[in-house]
This record gives sequence, structure tokens and C-alpha cells, in this order.
Amino acid sequence: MSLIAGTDLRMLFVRSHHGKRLLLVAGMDKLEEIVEVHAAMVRRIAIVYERHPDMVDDLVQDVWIAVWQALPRLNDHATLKSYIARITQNICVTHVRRSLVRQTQPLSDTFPDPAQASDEATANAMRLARLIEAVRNLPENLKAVATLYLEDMPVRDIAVALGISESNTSVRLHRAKAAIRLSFGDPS
Amino acid sequence: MTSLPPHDPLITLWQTAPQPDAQHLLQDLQRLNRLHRRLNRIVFAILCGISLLLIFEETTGRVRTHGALSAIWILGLVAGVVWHRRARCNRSDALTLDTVSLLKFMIARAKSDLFIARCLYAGVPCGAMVGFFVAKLAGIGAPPSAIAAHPLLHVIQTGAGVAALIAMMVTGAILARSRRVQVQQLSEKLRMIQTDV
Repeated sequence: MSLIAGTDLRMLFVRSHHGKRLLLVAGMDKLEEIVEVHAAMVRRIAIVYERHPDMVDDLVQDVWIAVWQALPRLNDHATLKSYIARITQNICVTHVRRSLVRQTQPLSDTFPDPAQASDEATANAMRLARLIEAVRNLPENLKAVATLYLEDMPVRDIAVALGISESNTSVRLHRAKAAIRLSFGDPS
Repeated sequence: MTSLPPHDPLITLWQTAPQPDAQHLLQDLQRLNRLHRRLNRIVFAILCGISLLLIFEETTGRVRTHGALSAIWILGLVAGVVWHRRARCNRSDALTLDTVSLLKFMIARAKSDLFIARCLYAGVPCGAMVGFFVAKLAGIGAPPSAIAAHPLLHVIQTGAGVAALIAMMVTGAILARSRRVQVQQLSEKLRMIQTDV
């Protein structure tokens, strides 16, 4: 059974009898549902590869257009998360290529000052920002593995998504986690 | 759908990132879809307009090519549409390939683009010069009496040809520059990802 039973999302806009384009609300509901569930994951992966907020938005849009095109072919609901993560990873690789050509100046991230971390939420936001920065600073071969691992993907799926062996993935993951923990000031 | 809570505190921390505005994203997707369709319609209309113009010129006898030009144009148009549709059907690279295979595919494509770009900025002027000399030697082209009768038309035709030549060379140079950077960067990225640890 197709994930979105009987609905090709590319056909959301259909021509009515009056020649106007109508939106199939049922199809959009399904797309909304998928976006609601996975939008955060896509954005988290995107911000590892791109600092500039506008370019992150572009990247996220590219990913969802690709997912939109791919959805009618997807039959297994259980693999949806891995599938979207893999598409995001691949689009991000492509995006790096384009940003290098454009040579844009990235904006610097703003991290909360530790001295002003008065409550739990601020402290958590600060730790999260440090984690994102730590993943961004990883070498390419560790970054890809770490990003997918942080999305709670099993090692086997990460290996398949990247096209490398499982043992290689495990070693890279170990090194990536060590590097991240080191940047957190936790050498263990 | 329920899932077990992640055991690694790093995963827990990672997934506390705030939720983006999904509604805004969906609106953007719909807007992009509409723009894409509108662009397709405009391109289609322009191509149809050129075809009709050619057919009209030939049927009224203003262009003495006896329908050959229209036939070549329409054949090219059909081939282009078929190629475009095939390319769109095959454009499942980011959806089906793993990252390493995708990078290899993209490097191959960038190298092919680089070759086309080199043909544009180097091959086109060489071809134009060869064509010019061959036409001179073979006596092909408008006779001097025709040029003398319509000197302005000759200047316009020559100017349009030179402008098209320069545009192709500039396009080729720009494309070659960007594709050279792509090949270099993608190869480096592939090397880093493929390197065994």
C-alpha cells in the first residue's frame, strides 16, 4: 500500500471544471502530517551543513521538494524516517557544492553567554548550540556519520545511507562521539 | 507511532532542537510549485511561438527553405522534450543513491558539463572560424550584389551572429569555471568520505 493511499502528491493541484486550480485538501493533510513529524529532523541536519539562516531555509525546501517527488514511490511507512534522513543527507552534500561556488559569507552563530544562563531552558539551548557547533566542526567523514547517529538511526542504516561498510561506520561513529565529548570538556 | 527513548544523552540533547514552522514551509512549497508550473507554461509558449513563426515564414515564402528549417526546429524541439522527460524520470539520484554513489555520479556529471562548457567557449569560435573560411572557399553565402542591395540587413545579421557567438563563449566560460570548482570540491569530499579510518 502506498504511504499516501491513492494520492499522488505531485497531483495536489488539479484543474477544476472552471479552469481554476484547486487544492486537494486530503493530500495536503497527509503532507502536513509528514512535515510536522519530520521537519525538525530535516532542519537539524541542514543546520549542520549550512550556517546562513536563509540558506538553511533553501536547503530545507530543496529536501521537501525531493521528498514530495519521492513519496508516491515509498511503500514502507516504517522506513520513512531513514529515507527522509538519507535524502536530506544527499541534498546537503549537493548544497555544499553550490555554496562553495557562490562563496557567500556565513553569518556567525550567536550563543548565549554562560554567565547569563539563568534557567534550565537557556542552559539547554546553550548546550544544544555547542553540540551543533561540535558536529559542524567535525571532518566530513565523521560529520555525516555523527549527524545521522544523532537522529537515532542504527549503524546499519547509516552505513547503507552513506555507502560505506558497517565496521567503518562504527569506527567513525566512535571517533565522532569522542571528538564531540571532547569539545564538551568530557574526555571520557 | 511510538519509539523507545534514545539512550545516548547526546541524542536526547540533539532532539531538543525547537520545531520549525511547518505551516510556513508548506506554503512555500505550494508557492514554489505554482512558480515552477508558471515557468514551464512560459517556456512552452515561447517555443510554440517560435515554431509558429517559422512555419508562417516558410508557408508565405518569406524564407526560402521549403519547410526544412521548421522541420529541423520541430524535430529538435521534440527531441529536447523527450530528453527532458527522460532526464526527469532518471533524476532519482538523491532519492535512491547512497552518499558515496551520489558523489561519484555528480562528479561524472560535472565532468561532462565541463566538457560541454569547454566546447562552448573554445569549440564554438574555432567552429565559426572554420565555417567562415570554408564558406569563403566554397563560395557559399549571399552574393555581393545581395549585400549591396540590403547593407543594413547584412550588418544586422553579422551583428546577431557575433553577439550569439560571444554569448555562447561567455556562457561556456562561466559554466566551465563553476564546473571546475565542483569537480575539485566533490572529488575532495568523496576522497574524505571514502577514506577508511
